[in-house]
Amino acid sequence: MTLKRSVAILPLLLVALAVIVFAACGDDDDGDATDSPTPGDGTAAPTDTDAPSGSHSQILQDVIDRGSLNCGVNNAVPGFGNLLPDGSFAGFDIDYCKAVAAAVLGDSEAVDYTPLSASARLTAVQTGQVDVLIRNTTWTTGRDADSGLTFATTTFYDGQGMMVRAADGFTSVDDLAAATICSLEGTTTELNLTDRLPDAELVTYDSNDTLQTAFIEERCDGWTSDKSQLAGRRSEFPADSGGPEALVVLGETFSKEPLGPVTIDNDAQWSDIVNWVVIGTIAAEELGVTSSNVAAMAADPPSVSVARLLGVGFGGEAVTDTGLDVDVTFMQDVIAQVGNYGEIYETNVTPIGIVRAGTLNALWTDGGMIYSPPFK
Amino acid sequence: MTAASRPAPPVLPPHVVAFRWARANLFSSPGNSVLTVVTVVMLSFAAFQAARFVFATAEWEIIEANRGLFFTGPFPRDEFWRIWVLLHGTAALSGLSWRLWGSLDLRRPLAFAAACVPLYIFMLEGDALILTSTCIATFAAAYFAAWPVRFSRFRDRARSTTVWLWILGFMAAMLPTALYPSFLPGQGGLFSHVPDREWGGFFLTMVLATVGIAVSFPLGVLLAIGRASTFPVIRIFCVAYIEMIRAVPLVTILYMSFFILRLAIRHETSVLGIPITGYEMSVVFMAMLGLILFSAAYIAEIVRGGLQAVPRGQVEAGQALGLGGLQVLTLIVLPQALRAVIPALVSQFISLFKDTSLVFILALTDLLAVARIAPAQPGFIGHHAEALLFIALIYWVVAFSMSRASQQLERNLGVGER
Repeated sequence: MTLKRSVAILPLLLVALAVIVFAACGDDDDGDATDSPTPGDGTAAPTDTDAPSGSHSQILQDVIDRGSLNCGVNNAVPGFGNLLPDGSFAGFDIDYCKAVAAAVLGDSEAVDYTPLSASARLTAVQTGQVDVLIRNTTWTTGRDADSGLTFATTTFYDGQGMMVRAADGFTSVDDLAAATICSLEGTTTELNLTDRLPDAELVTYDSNDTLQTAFIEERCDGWTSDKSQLAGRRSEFPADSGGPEALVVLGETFSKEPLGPVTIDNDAQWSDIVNWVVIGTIAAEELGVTSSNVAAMAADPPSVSVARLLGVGFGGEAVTDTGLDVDVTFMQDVIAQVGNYGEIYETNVTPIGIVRAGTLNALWTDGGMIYSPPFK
Repeated sequence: MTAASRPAPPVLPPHVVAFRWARANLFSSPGNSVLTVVTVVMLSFAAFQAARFVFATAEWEIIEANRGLFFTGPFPRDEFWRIWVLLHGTAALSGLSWRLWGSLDLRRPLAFAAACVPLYIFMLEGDALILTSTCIATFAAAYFAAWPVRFSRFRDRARSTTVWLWILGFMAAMLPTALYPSFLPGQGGLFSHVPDREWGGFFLTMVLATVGIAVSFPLGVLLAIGRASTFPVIRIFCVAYIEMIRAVPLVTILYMSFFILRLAIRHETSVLGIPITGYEMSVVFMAMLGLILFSAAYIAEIVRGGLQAVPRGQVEAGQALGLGGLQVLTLIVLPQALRAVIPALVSQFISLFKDTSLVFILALTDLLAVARIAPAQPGFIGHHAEALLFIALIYWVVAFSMSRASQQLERNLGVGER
């Protein structure tokens, strides 16, 4: 009898062990733009769905059959991914979901948004729960190689910065060598700061909201986070604490956070489509094609570059197929329904107070990093 | 000494009474006096700060603008009528139940309702105000329709009919809304398909809590009975289940139901050789499963306590009357056992209701998640305190109502009186 009982209990013990092992893997640093590359993210093996490599994309076929794009997003990052009072999604990342839907389906509204937590997002791409992940995800080696994912062209170059009170008179990060710094816990932000200022006292909080309260109560001298986050927080700093003018974001940037769309590794055709939608919005800005003039430009293209971008003939020349498996005029839909890179930035990021000029997110012709390979 | 021989106490003016009371209770010694003064100062300061925040500092537009999100999350606005139908049905059954079971003393609930009127007018406008009014009218109509039944010979039949209406209504609401979109692919013939990730806010919290309570309670009772079983296989299974689940945090169980099943089921899969395209594992269903499995283990232990409290003599008396094992259990042991553990059960239900907020880790937009999402909207950045206070009020109202309902249930069943 005793033997039988112990035998019956054995499988249960194994299950319990599995529970514990999985519990150890799922750590959630949830929340904000500073999403550390969690080792746990890589534990999920890349799936071997039977999408053939080459010219035919399984995901593209699924999206067309379904009639909508499944896009993994964030719903609580100001200016990048927000759930608005009327139940709709809006933001910089959301607009790129719309752009991909416009390119593939011709309708920027044909998107099903799936809000994802920081720890669930990579699994969601690997398991095909979402077709594309556009959720302020930093491009890192581990994620690109080990997790079996593909990163498209970076849409936003973020980086860690430092915000201080204007009244304190700090002008560079080095002035804060012995100061108290507030940061979010469990993020790469925390590690970067320890590298940069080893002698500073670090105080960590679990959310930007509690962090802001601590900062207002002067429990720390500096507030470190991604610059896009800091700018958003600064622009809406409570008026009774001095408003935005009471704060200064120092110029220095001490980490690289290139954010962009993520797709699964084994469908190169699909990754190309997503990538060239991003590049197309940048090319459109370089060429001065906007949502208001795209129709006119398509009817009468001013240059061969514009004609190629919009998939129309120029000077009697035949239209060349891009080989992307989508309509050659896909960029017309994207630009008409969503806009070019500059317009997407203007609509979403400028209102939260992140100036574009002079940053890495300016066009390369203006000294930034936003650059489009030739569209031909 | 008799009362008659004692002189009648002099009638003192109220301020003298108050003074004497204060001296006896608040300033009886120097130490107590200091304590009183310090406490009064601290309490007034806290009250002043709270009032200043609520009436001066706070900007309540975030709540007003996000009413829809707080109540239903990203639920499609065109499909709101479904929720209104659900609310009217609930209001009618609640009105009926209140009259059939509720306290006859209406002063306190009416005073509470009156206190809510300003909130209700502040919170709602347009269609929502009209539809909420018709909900309240439905509640009142059902209450008065059941008015004569409470003290008539039809009462028991009306009560059992109402219980069945609740059960059928619950299933009618849940089967198409909760299970249908999760298990069947494609579009739903008569009604358009609302994906469950578009459920949210208070609606989602209540769906999770009601399904969690309604399913985990019977499951927990079965587990408790199984644990007391004389069949080793059943007993060992129940003990192992209860001890395993109770040893693991709820967050872990939610993660497990999400990640492990997610990895097991791809976007294209086959069951028994039949390919299922567009199959999608419902996150809400996973969350429900996690909550049910977790809560059932705790309920099982509570019910086991109740079972053990029923004296052995009761079982023997039942057997002496010629009742079978099942009859002894359902007619004699369980009614007494469950009645004895109502307070602990309701605590567990309230706790489950609040635990639903943990589903935010699955990126579901429940009530707490909305309070994190709204302060990230451009224009409302940083107004998290207002949002959190508002949902705290909602959680309190629901939890407090559950607690009051359980007290009424105890009174009806005469707990502690016989």
